[in-house]
Amino acid sequence: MKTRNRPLSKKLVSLAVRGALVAAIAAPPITLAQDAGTDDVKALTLPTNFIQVGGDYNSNQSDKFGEYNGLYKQGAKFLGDLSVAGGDGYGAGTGTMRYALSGTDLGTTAGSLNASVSDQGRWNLGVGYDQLRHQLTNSYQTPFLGAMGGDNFTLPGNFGVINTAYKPPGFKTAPGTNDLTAQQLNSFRSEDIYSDRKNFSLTAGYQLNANWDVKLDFNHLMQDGAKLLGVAGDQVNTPPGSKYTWAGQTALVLPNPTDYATDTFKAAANWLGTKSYATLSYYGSFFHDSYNSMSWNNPFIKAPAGVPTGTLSVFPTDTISTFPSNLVNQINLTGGYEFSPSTKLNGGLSYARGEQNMGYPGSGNVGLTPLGVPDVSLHGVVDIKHVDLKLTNQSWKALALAAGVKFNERDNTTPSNPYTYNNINQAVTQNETSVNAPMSNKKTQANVGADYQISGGQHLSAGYEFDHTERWCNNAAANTAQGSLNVAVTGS
Amino acid sequence: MIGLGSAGTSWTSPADTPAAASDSAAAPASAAAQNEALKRDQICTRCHDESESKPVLSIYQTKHGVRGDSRTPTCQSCHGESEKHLNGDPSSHGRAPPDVIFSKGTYALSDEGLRAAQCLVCHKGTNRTRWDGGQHQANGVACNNCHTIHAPSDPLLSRGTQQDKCFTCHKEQRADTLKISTHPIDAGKMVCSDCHNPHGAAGPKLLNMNTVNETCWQCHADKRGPFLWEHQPAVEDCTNCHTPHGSNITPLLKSRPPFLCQECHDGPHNSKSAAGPNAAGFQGGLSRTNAANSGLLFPSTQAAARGCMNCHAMVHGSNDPAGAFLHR
Repeated sequence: MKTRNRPLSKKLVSLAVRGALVAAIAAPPITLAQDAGTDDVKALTLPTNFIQVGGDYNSNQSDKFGEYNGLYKQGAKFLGDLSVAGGDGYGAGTGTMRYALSGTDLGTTAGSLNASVSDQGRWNLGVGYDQLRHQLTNSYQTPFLGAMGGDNFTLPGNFGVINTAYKPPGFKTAPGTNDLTAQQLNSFRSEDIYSDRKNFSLTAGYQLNANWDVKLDFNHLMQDGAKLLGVAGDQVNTPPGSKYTWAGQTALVLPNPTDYATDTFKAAANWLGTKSYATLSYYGSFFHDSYNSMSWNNPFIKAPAGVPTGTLSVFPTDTISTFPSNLVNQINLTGGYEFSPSTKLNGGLSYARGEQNMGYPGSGNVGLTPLGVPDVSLHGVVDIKHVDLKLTNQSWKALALAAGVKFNERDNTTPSNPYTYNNINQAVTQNETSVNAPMSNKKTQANVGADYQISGGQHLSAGYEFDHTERWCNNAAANTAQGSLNVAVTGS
Repeated sequence: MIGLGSAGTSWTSPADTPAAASDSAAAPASAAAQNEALKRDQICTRCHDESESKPVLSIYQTKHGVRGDSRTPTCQSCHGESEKHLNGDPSSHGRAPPDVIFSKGTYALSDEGLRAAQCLVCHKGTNRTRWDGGQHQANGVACNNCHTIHAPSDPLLSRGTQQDKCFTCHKEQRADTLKISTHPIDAGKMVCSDCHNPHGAAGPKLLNMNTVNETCWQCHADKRGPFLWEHQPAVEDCTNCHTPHGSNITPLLKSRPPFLCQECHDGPHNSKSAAGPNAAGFQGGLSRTNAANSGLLFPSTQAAARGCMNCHAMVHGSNDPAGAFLHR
C-alpha cells in the first residue's frame, strides 16, 4: 500500500468516491455501490467476468510436449476458458452471497470446471470436475491384441513362437536365428499409451457459531488407461500338459491397466477459542481396482517337436497381479494452546486402520499356477498410530526455544502363511515355498533446542535430537523364515 | 523436526479486532455495523483510493471485503489505528508510518512476527495449528510474504500460479519440475499445497499428512496395500527410490536402474564386484558369464531397458501367491 506525505488528493474521481461514501453513510444502510459510481472503482471492486472461446493448432505431435496438457496430437483443437462471479456480497451488495463458475482448458484432456456458492460466514458449497491425461508414449509397438486399458492380451493365431536361440554379440543375423519372422513383424502396430484421471469433487462448510464450524470434502477419482509394465515369463522346451523344462526367462513390456476408482472423504469439526483451538477430523480413502490381474499369451513357449514355428494355435497364458483394492479409515485430533503470547503448545493424535482383502489372482500358466494357497485372499490389516507435541517459547524476540516429540507406528497384523508356487526361472520339478513377512515399524523422535538470531540471517543454534526406528514382524513363522524366503524346497 | 528461529509470534496485535472470530458470532453484520466499518475504511480510502498503484480497493472483491459478514476486518484491523500516520507526529520527519507496514516502500517493513500476528488474530487453528515452530515461521516468513491480500484473486490460492510464489525461494524444486519426469506441476495441474502444508505440519518437509507415504497414497492409493509380498523400502518411505519434484530418470527415480536397486541388493544376482577383466557376476548390467566365453561385455537380460524391473515388476508389492520375488 502506498502512503503519501502530500496533501490529500483533490482529484475529481477521488471527490466522487468520498462524496458517495458520505452520502451513503448519511442514508443507511450504506453500500459500497453508492460510493463506487466510477468506472475505476467498479473495475477494482467488482469481479471481471469473461468467457473465452478459441482454438489451438499443434504443428507436430509429441507425447512429451503434450504429456500433461492434452496437446500431444498434431492438429486443431477447441479451447475454452471462463470465469463468472457475482452475488450480493460483491460491490453494491450488502449481503453475503457469492457465486462463481470457472473453467480452464476446456476442450482438452487437461480441462477443469468448478462452481461454488457461499453465504459468507454461514455456509459454502462447491463442486468441481478436473481431468488430466498423462500421455506416456506414442511410440509403443506391440503384436498383442487387446485394447489398452484391458486386462488380457492375446497374440494372433498365426503369430507362432518367437525363436529364442542364443545369439552372441557380433553374431551376424541368419535365417533360423532369433530374429522375428516376417509374419511376426507384420503383426506389430503402434499404440498410444496414456493414463486418464477424472476427478469429481464436492466441498461444503457450515459455520455453526463463532467457535465452531464443520467442513466436508469428497472426491471421486476415476482412472483408466494403462502404464507400461515389464512382465516376465519362462521359455520352456516341452508343450503344456507335460512337465516344463526351463530353458530361460523372457521379458515383455505390456500396458498394465489402471482401471481404478478412489473415493476420498474428509470431514472436520473445528473449534476456535480465545487461547486454544482444536480440530477433530476423519479421513477415509477407498481404492477400487477393477482387475486383480493382467494376463497375456506367452510367445516364448517353444513349439512341440514336429510342429513348425508359426503353427502353434494356443499360447500358454501368463498372469501378473495388479494393485489390489484397499481402504483406510483415519481419525485425527489436532490442537493448540497459547499459555501466553510467547509460549505455545501444539500437537496431534491420529489412528488409522488400513485393510486389503482382494481375491488372489489365479494363473493360467501351468508352470506358475499357485500350488499351495492357504486362503483365497490376504485379510491384510495395518494399524497406523501417530502422536506429536511441540512446545515453543519466544519471550525474547531474538531467542527461540522449542521442544517436541513425535511418534509414528505402522503395525502390520496381516496373517502370515506359507505359499508354495513355481517361480519364474525354475522348472516345475522345483516348487518353492515362501512365507509372507508382514513387517511393522515405529519411529520415535524427540528434539529440544534453542536458536539465537545474531543479526539478519545469522543464527546461533544448539539442540539435541533423538531418533529411533524399530522394525519387527508379528508372525513367528515369518520370523523363522527371515533371511531367506525359501523355507522349504520340495520336489514334485 | 522441530523448527527453531527468530521469527517471533509473541506479538500482541495493535489492531482493534472487533471482528475476530473468537469474539464475534458468525452472523450477518447489521446495517449499523456495516456503516461503522465503512466509516473506518473511509478514513483510509479518502487517500488510498483507486489511484493507488496497488489495487487497494480490490480487497472488496475478496473474502476480506464482504461487508455483510460481521467478521470482515476494516483497514485498521490489519494496519492498526495508525494515529500518528493520520494526525501527524511532531517527532518524525514527514508523515509518520502506519502502525503495521506489510510491504516495503516509503516506509520500512514491519517485523515478520508483527505482520503474521495480524493475520493470526483470526486465522489460527485448523491448517495453521502447527504454525509456531514450523519451518516457515522459524525462518522469518510472514503470511503476506506469500499471500496477496488486496488482489481480487490471491495467486497463491490458484492452480497454475501458486508454484511460482513457492519457487521464488525454493529454486531447486523449480529446477526439478522442469526435468524429464515430473508431476504435472509445471502444467499447472498440481500445486505445492497438494502435498505440503506451508503453515506447519507434523509430517516431514511440511507434508500435509503424518508421513511421506501417507501423503503419496492420497493420490497413489494403488500403492498402499498392505500387500501379500511387501517391499520394505516402498512401505516405509517412497522417497527411498523416488524424488517427487522431478528427475531425469522416469518415473521420478533417484538413480537409474539397476544401480538404484543395487544400492541395497548387492548379492550374487547383482554382484557388487566391479566389472573388470577378472570380474565375475553382473555389474551395471554388464555380464561376462552370458557372453559364451567371447570375452565381450554386453548388457545382461536382467539389466536391459527397465533393468531389474523387467522381471521384478511389482516393486511396490505383489498380491499374487506366486509373487514372493515380486515377479507376479
